[in-house]
Amino acid sequence: MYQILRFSRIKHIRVEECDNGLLMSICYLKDNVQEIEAKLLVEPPELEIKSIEVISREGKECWQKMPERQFYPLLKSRIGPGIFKMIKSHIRESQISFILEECCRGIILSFTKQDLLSSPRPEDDEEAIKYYAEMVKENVRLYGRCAAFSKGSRIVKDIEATKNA
Amino acid sequence: MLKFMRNKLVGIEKIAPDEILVHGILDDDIYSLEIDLRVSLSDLRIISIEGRWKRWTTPECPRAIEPLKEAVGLCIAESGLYEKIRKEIGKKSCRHFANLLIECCDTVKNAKGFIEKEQEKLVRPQEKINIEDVFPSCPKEEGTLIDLHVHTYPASSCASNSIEEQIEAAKSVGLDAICITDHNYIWDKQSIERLIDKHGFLVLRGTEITTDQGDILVFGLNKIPAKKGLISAMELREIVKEEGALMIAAHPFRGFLISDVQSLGLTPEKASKRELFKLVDAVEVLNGRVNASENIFTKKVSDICDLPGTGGSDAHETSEIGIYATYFQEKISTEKELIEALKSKAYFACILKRRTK
Repeated sequence: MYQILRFSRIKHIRVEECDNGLLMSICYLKDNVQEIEAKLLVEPPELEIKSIEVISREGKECWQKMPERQFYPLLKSRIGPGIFKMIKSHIRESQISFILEECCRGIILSFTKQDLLSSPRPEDDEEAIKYYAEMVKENVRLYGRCAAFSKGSRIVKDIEATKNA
Repeated sequence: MLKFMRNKLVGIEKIAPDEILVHGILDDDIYSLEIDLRVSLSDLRIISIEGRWKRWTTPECPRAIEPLKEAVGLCIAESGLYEKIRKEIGKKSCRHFANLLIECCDTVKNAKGFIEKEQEKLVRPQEKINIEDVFPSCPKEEGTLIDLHVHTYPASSCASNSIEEQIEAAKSVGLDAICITDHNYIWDKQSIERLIDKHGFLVLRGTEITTDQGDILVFGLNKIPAKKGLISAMELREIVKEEGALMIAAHPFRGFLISDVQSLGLTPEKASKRELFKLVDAVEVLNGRVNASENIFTKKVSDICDLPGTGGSDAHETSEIGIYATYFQEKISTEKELIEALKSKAYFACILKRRTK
């Protein structure tokens, strides 16, 4: 309660739609020892990665741009299934690979947000359970992906019953 | 156009010699959640974890809290940890909690070396300063003991007691005189003379003028310099010179040393280079509203500048009167004699022990 923070970090991720229709995902990290900014340009509808730019610095050092060739293997990849594995396998530095993942996750979540906003999500608890139960039935890959969609959850009760039948 | 935003904040406190508390917040357009993590600093093992939802999507999302406990015992330094968190915590709990937990772990990894290095700096031995080892107590010999820095209400709106109350307080602690140095205000001579007669106690006039280089005590002026806005120390010097008055830098390092000024690299040698010390006739080295280390620092600066040091309580209320004073070797009974004594430099700042006459 009476402590002073010894270390702090802020990470900011944002996705913006550019005038040329491309999506720009930016992840900025700043803590007591480092500062990193990654910028990903993605082209819809395939969500193909057009460019990746990463700059970083430690302490009072000047900003350093990371060599672009490091990211060549990721260019033209799609933000879709397997992208996180690809990033991990091509970018050895865990900090940078995590930041690029954040950029990609931001793009995915920007569409999740749109979907959630445009779907008629019920306010009532029981209706909401039915709504999400339908969603999991239609997208079976969601089953078991998190606590809400796993065994014991009211959302997957019917799926469980069918499985056990 | 902004389509999505996520912010994460991780703060680390040291709650025990070998334990840190990591507080992580994730807030985006869809989700809002928090994690409190206790981690042993030596082996980076997770001791406890607590999660809280602030905003979520499905009625079953709260089920994600309980499985977070599976993170207890994990070692943040172990390789493949993030993958383990994604697979185990992400699936059993929620991938957004897993994301925040990875952020917290990643921050801890970076913080360990930093905190340990900072700790080494913090534990350096602090020099115990005893003000009585640096400044003398007031001498018993016949001379004149004056508190050169006293405020009164309402002339100084920040003060609490009237001039008459301050005079009575000064008499009770054994001072020979006080100088009334209200902010940017000079008492008229007649009022002071009436007070001297009424209380049978020597009251002298001065003022404390706010300048571009801080507060300056001025003795020997009859009126406040007419100047719109803040007067510069240089302008004040010119006026003081013309009037045959004197300037004393008041508490020049007040507040400078309350925090760890060593990290700012301020040394008496560097501080002595300030323009202010080329303009003043003396430096207030003992001020009652300044802590011991600041007063001692000021004394070192005045010694380097070869400027005499004065003492004053800077009393804003009766209880503060006379904590420090200036001892003059000569007998002083008028304002003129005070100015001469200040010019002679035959005085020193001292700590006043309550004395009876």
